[in-house]
Amino acid sequence: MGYLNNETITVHAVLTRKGRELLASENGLNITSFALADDEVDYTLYDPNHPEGSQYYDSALRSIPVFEPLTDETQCLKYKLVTLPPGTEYIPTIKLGQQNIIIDKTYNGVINITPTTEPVYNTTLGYTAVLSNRNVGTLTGTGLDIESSQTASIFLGDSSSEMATTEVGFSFTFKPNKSITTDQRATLTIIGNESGGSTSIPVIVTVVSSDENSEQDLMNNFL
Amino acid sequence: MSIYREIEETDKVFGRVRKVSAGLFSTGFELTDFHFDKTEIKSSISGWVQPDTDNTDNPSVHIHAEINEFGNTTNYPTDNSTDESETTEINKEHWNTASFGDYYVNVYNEETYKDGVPNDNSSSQFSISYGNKNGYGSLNESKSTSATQAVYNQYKNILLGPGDSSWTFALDSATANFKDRDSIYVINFSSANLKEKFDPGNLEFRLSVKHGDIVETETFRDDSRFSSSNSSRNPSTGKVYQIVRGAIVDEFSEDSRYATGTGEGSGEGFGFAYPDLGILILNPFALSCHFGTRVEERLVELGNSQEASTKTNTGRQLSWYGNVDPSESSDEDGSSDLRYGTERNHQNFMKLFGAIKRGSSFKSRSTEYVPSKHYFIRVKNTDFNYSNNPSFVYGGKEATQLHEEGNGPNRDYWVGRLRHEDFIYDPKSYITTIGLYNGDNELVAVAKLSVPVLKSFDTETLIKVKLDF
Repeated sequence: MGYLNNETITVHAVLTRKGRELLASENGLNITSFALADDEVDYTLYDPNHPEGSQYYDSALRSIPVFEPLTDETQCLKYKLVTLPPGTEYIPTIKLGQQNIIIDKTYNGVINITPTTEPVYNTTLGYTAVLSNRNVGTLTGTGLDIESSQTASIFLGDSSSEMATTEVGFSFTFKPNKSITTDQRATLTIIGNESGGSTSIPVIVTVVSSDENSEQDLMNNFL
Repeated sequence: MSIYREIEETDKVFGRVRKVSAGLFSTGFELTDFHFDKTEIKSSISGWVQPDTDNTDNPSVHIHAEINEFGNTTNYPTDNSTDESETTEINKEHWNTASFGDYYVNVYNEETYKDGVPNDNSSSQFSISYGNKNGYGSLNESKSTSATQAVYNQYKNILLGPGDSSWTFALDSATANFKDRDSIYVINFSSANLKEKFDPGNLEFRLSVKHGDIVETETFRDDSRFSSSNSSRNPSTGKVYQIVRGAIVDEFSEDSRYATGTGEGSGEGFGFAYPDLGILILNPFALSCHFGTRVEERLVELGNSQEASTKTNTGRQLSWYGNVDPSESSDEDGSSDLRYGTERNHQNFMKLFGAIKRGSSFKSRSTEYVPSKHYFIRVKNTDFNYSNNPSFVYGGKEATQLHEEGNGPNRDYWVGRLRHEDFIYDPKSYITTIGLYNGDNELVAVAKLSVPVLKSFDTETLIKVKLDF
């Protein structure tokens, strides 16, 4: 009879930039909850057909090297683990009414962005929207009476995180920036505040009428 | 469904203080190589003035001291050509151009320059200084920075109690008294390495003096293991221990507390260690008695009784106010200038630097108390078994491709569907990161696991997250 391994895993935490900022303020850290993530893991490496048997299905996953913690809170815990009932077949997916936003800067109306989650989630805490380049226009969140979270994950892509803007709400409106002099591009990422799932669409605001540029050309340029 | 889990109050452990000790030096517990930066100790108020013998008009020439790697002056004049009065005048002219090299020398772990290029691995480990209550060892007139006096008084203000104007070194039991001394050597550890304090009981350093071919070495430590702190003499400085002879591992005897030998300094304590401030104060007279006597004993053994009787050897000179190394100029007679050092800045601290460098061993440990909080992260069997990782499910392009290949009723059937059929009935996730959030859902701390930890409906995990401040 062998010994059971009853060791507690002990890990050292580092404060994020936000954490240090809060520590310096009179409010302190006031930690109340935790979340888990698996940012480095690639589940496509899980091999249920491994010739050595079930013990080896996840051998590639278990030996993935893990990064040291980042102190930039916007770059941590991008892919959170989620609690769902057994037998779940689908991870809640966020869907938007549009696949992209391509408009002229002279457009006077607003673009309504209403995310939904299938199966239905995020009905209490809503969504966080991250616009990677604030020069493209103004993003406004509606339906939630809370300030935007400053620690929402930002997916860097080709944009600078310093140019990003974050809003929370159940739905969002977007107005193009009329003062731009060149075409502006950005990525709009919507994150479910309860489910943790996310989806992204491109946003392009053109200087000349978008009719003069084919939508496909603009998308090709963006990609 | 949730991506957050509340931490119960009983799973938060506050007020823990952890003692963290580590080697005090960049090299760890022991430093064996000692260097200084020559550019740092180049002084405008050092050197001396000689008539220019090559010039028929014999104008005075200000000679700057050239110092070798042991801190010895190598171009000290061996004849009587030095113009003492002119030297004083020249140094008075420069009294307001003193640099920090006139007060102390930084000791580095590696050479500060290698082949003329700054060495990034070189960092200051500690500083050595010399203080004299009367200003001896530096120009001490109306136009003077009185470097040694300033050093003595600044350490006096920090380390001695109000009204106490001199360091008092204990005398041996034969006299059972105390002796006030007007000069001190100071070793001051770099605060970057020191952290909070050095660890009493783990301090050991070796001093070595060289006189001609004679080398005398002694090891010193603090006496914290054998006696309680005598902090009652000045509670404001925290704990104070005596510096005694012996290595960390040696047995202790009362004799090791005091300098044994002849001459001034006999029976006096070697100095004090102030762990909380990272400062060592050494008694130049006790050191000079200890090393001077031993060098003289060796000289007698070698048949040089006459040289021994002059009592001017390198060991004795540790308490002189001036700086000269007779091993480099053996006919030095110990002139009044060197004994009393009142004409110029003699950078006496270089004598102790030389003794430390020759000793080749300085051991010390730093200690700091790190307040920490612990959070027990309990991941129950039903929690966190699924992931938002994009590779956990089929994405849009894959869904399209699968549908086009004739799989599934439509494309949407695949979007967001778990990638592995096994996971529908036995989901597995792999924890790599733990995020701690505040009440506003702001991520304030992040911890990483060294390897991904499997989580499924069959497993529970307990992770202790330690947050140090």
